[in-house]
Amino acid sequence: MTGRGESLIRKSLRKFRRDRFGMAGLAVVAVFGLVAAGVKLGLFCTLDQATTAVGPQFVRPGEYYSTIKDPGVRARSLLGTDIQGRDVLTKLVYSIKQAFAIGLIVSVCAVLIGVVLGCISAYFGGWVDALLLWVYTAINSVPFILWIVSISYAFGRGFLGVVVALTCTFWVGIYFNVRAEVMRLKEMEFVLASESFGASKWRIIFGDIAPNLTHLIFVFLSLDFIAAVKNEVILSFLGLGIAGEPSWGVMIANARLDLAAGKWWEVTGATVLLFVLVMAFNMLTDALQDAFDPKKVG
Amino acid sequence: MSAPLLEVEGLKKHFPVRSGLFRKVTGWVHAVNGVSFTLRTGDTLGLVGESGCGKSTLGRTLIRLYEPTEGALRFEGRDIAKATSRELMPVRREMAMIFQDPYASLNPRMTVEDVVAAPMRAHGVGTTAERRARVAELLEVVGLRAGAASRYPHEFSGGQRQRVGIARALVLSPKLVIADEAVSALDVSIRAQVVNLMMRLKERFKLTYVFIAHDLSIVEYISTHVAVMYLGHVMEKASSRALYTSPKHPYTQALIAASPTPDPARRKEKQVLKGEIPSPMRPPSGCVFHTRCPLAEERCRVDVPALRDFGKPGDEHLVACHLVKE
Repeated sequence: MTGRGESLIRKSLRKFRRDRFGMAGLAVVAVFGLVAAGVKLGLFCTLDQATTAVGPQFVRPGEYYSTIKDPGVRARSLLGTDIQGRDVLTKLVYSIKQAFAIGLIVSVCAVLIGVVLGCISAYFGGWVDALLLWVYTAINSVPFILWIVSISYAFGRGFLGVVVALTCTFWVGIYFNVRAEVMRLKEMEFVLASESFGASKWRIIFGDIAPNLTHLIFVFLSLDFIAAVKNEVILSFLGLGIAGEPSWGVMIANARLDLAAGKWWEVTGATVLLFVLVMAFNMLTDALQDAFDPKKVG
Repeated sequence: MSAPLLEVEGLKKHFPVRSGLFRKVTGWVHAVNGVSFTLRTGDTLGLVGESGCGKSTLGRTLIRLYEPTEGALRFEGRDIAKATSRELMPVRREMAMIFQDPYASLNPRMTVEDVVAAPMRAHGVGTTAERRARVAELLEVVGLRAGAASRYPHEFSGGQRQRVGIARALVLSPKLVIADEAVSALDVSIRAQVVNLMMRLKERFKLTYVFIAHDLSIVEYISTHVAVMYLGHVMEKASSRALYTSPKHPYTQALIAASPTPDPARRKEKQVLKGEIPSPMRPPSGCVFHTRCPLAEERCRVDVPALRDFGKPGDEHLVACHLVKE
């Protein structure tokens, strides 16, 4: 019994590191994340490169073509070109940044709002709780996709509209779960103990209760990240999402007619990347859930 | 006899029961229903009773975790029954609570040092270094190693965790400590150690205890006075000696008869109470115990018995029963 003790977080991390599927998921997500960061820094490709034609339309993957810049130069296209002669690989890589930006912003904002409101609602109870619960019920009673459609109409097509629409609909689920957990925690004796020596309400909420929500926070961050990425694709596919920039949803929407004509590479590329990222994230979420749930920490 | 530290008069705590769409109050749980007693400095009052008799609610109301519905609660002469949380702050330094569940009463995300120092932080006492020194001092007092300060609660056993809880209760040098089933959750072998620790601390820091428990033998061991509760009422209150040697209330007699005793001389004919505790939402009329009392008469169903003193002068023995004669 000497030296520093091991916190529950560190214990959870140790458990997480032993989870092979979780680590594999994390590795894939990390690769995607690095690429996204690279694109953001302008390392791999720029928006300009992703939106300008490089050669003739519908070059098949692996074929050579003469570039627009200099017709004498032959270049090989790895994943082909689209209907306007833009390089599919460049668009795909650029879209990774789009997916990460939307996933990160939406999940962080939604978790922040959900956790803070859930804590306040459950701890104070009374009319505050009634009001927030009413907002929750109101948002929940309208089909999710309708909210997203109407909010992104109101904010206009584009990145901001998608982010606001997804955040507005995602926080309610987190709010309700956090509220239930805080209801349970606030009756625990360590909270009563803090009340008995007169700790302030805010100190109890954010010092005593909130640190016990880490498992929910981790899980919701990763769940909502995936949900945001998937919903961006759906919104863009419906023509309500990103405009003027490539994204996986936009690519799938634009290339779906080409698919019938046998031009399969653009749709396939976007779908495969989406699938790999979502799959990896699901594995990561599962592992996080196992490692961080206090009922399972052992 | 010293001055009263805590005076309780007609204390009631009722919880609303809500139901329906608009959360209308449809009934009240009469958890504590008119309790009066006086606690003097240096006393240890044992509160005993079956589960659901209101003893924990009473303890939590005494330390103002709950606001009393009715009645007076005077700590060192000041009525704190309706005090606001700001007015309570100085009083909160003088009172502390030890909780039942050693696994739930310590925040799993905090180190032992943070847990024990939390009351000091809440009251802005001392610098970081002073707090650390005070925590180290108290950990030693409760019998934990100095290295324990930087560890987390899940690394300790139940008994050790309860010692941490005791250290936290003592960190502000309180006068009154309310121990709510403080040893009930511990292994029998650890229980005696913790009770002995609490008795030593009482001597050393001149503490006054309210010791809530359902284990009669531990209460007999630690308490100077004992109050027996049933359905939110005090049925009998006397010095520990008088209560255990000559219980007067039929309920106390049944409780003592039902508890196992290693002394065959004290073993009496087993008198097992029939039935369940009635619902505290609809307590019986008259004496609340009449539905289960083997001796109940007609007037027990109608009149509420008051607490009457049957003790010798200077040795109060209060009993709330119509049938007890001098």
